[in-house]
Amino acid sequence: MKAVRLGVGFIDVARVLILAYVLVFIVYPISYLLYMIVTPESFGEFLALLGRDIFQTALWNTIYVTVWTLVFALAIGVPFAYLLYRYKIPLKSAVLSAVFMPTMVPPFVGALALIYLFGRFGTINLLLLDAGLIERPINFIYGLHGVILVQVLSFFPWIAINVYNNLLKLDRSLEEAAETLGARPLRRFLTVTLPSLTPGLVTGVFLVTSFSLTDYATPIVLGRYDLLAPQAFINILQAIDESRVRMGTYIVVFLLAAVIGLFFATKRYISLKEYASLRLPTPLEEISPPPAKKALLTLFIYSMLALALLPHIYIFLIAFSKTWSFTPFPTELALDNMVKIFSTPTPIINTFLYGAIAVAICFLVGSTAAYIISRSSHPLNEVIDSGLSIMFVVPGIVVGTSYLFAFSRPLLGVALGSLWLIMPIMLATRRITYTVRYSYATFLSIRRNMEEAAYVLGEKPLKTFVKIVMPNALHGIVAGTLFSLIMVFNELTASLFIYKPGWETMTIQMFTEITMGRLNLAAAYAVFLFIVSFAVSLVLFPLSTRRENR
Amino acid sequence: MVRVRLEDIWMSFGDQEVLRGIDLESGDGEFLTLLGPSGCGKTTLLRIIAGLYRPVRGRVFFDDEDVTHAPPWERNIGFVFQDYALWPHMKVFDNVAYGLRIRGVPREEIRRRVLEALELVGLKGLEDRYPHQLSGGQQQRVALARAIVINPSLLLLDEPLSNLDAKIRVNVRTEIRRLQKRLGITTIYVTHDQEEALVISDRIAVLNRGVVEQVDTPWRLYYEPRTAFVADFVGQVNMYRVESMSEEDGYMYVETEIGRLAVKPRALEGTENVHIVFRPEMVEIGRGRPARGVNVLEGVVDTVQFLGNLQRIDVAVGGGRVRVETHNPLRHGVFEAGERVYLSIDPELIVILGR
Repeated sequence: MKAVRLGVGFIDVARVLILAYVLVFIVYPISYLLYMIVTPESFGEFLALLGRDIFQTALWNTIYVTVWTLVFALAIGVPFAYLLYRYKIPLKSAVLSAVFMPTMVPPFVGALALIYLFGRFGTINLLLLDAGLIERPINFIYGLHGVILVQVLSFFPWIAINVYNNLLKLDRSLEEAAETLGARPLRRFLTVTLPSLTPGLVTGVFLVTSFSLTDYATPIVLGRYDLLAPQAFINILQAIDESRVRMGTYIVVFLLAAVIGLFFATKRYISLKEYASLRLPTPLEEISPPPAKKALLTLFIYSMLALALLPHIYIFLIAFSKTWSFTPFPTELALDNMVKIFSTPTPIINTFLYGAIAVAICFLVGSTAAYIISRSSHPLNEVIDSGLSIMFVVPGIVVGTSYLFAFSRPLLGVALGSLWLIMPIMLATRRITYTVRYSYATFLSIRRNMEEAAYVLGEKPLKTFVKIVMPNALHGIVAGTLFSLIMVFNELTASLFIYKPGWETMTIQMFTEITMGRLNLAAAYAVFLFIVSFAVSLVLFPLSTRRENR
Repeated sequence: MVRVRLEDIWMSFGDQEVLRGIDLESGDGEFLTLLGPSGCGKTTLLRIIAGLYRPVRGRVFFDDEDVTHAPPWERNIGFVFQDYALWPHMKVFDNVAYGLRIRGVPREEIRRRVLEALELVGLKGLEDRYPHQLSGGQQQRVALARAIVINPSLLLLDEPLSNLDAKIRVNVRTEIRRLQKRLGITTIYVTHDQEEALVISDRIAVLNRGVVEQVDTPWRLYYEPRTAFVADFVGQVNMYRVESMSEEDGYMYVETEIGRLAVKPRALEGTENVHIVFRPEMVEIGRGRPARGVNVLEGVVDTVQFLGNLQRIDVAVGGGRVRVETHNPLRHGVFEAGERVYLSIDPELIVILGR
């Protein structure tokens, strides 16, 4: 039951402001992008593009990569989640926290590490050459299989986390009912457990598919340009001539259509309201298996975790090595790389500056929007809710392209795209869903009559919001905002489209360093970024799991 | 204090009609209870009085002032919520002081009045606790203190006792009534518990499916219910459909499934759907046939429940069943299922209802 409308108050004013934000920074740029292909001429071009060889090749390569990534991510992620949920595994909480890590770091960072590990003169090849087992380096990663490898390691945690979260909501008595009726474990899993995991599975599949389809950085780092996302990227950003830019744009729109189509196909199972508020799960009841079985389970969990974390460990090695070439491992450790990135601090300063502004926007817009959605009923709430939620689904390449085009021309006399302010605004808008969802869940947990008790004592809505609601909601809003912040720090795929010289963030600089062959500097940035993200998450996780204990 | 007057209040949520034309008036300083099953609209009505909902149609008056469109913060009311709604981030003192601060009461006076209010509800010395450090009963009393400390012109309570243990509930309801009498404050109280309503109220309004069935004193509500719903909802009742009736010797005779009964005559609103009702404790039960008297029924004991202070016996009579309660069970000893018994009912105590 929503409350009666209490006249024009602060909620109505706030609704208009938030709506304006959604229209200007979400609806407008995406509509602008779509508008670019709806003229008869451009639509003809678009159709012609679909038939061209270069598109066909890229399309099939993309499908190949996405399908295999998905298959392997499922093959690892589902058992990973289930075993972790069901059995007593040493240091379970730590494993759960660790598996979150790859989801926060852009996947191309993994690619960078794997070059050192599996590259032509990476650790493995050199070890094999030294041992005399091979005569020429084996190409482990340059190619589509390398892209698949990197993406599987980066993305399988998304499957694991979603399935695990779903398992936590599973009513154990459903499984027990099957057991009492004589179902053995495998049968029980297939007939009862797995079907009830559909929402988590579908959500995981959707996310991994969408990430894999639109990831252009990993293939570029691994030297493959003949996939859809990298094609779009190089055509738009290299901007050789206008027809190339248009072609890139068409590919972006095609990718957007694919993701949105997939979203609607799976929407029945995915609740936008839920999946952006992934919380660090807390372990529940568990079975202690016999020693041999336990050893096997633990081995599986830990080796998968090690695989997922391997790139990150390697990044540290790279960042802290003095020089590292043609040896399996670094010969000398030093801080040179770290010192170097701090001697040209612009990307670091930018990252923190944009992060601070983006956090302020997320906090103000996100928490207010969540409050409006949770506490009032109005047809326009749906626009706000959908607009802010959809940003979780819209791929970075789409956000980047649409902002690039939409804000390059003056809007109310200002070409926002030429002001550095567009960077934090874009970052906040792209990552705001986390703040909105966390705040929304927090507001729902605060009973409405807390506010009503203030009303009847004579307090008006705005003051009630400030004095009664905020003190109780702050931990949830801050948790959501910090989650947004981590994702802002690690954003690359959209920023890369709209930055101008001098606006580089750490992720952009990393990408630049990689393309210029300075992998060690890229690694140094990655390490610093990781440390910052980790520090933020240390604050975030206790807040996000805090229960209403008073 | 104010009188509350409701005129033709209608309320709906979506296409569900919750209140359908409520007219109701409270006396000045009266304790009026809204009683009804869950979903009858009693809480909705209370929230409309508070200004937390605005009715779809109808008007709310405080004395002669139309407050239908006034927001809650302009009504000067005390409201006690079902789950208390204490603010977890504030100490007891600050919870209670909140309304006074909004009213710009001087610091010293706030302190004095808050402590007074806490003393009044028996919580002296707990002002520095947080709500989560209190028991349910204590939290409930903080909520009450918060509501009365502002000297509201109207006190509204929404099932304030429903989250308490049975024993504490009895204590607190006595306290609420005592406090209300002492402060002389007009009070509207929502409950679904008929015993609570009978004990605490000056008058009770019984609500059913969004309409007021009857407004009366507890006594009259119990002994002279005006509708079958009221008879059935307030206390236990034996109720039978009347198949035919006739009048002779100053009595009305009705034909029912348990036989022919004499009933005190009463003007009926209509002759459709006529029922008679009487309470289980009004039935005399015995093992021998009474020498004389009207309304003597013969039956066979079906089930017996022993509740300590009373014995509840269901007796099969004719094509129906009569529930009998005898207080002081020792008087008759234990009845056995299958035993033949005689029942008699004073015609004065049988109420006939029709519409």
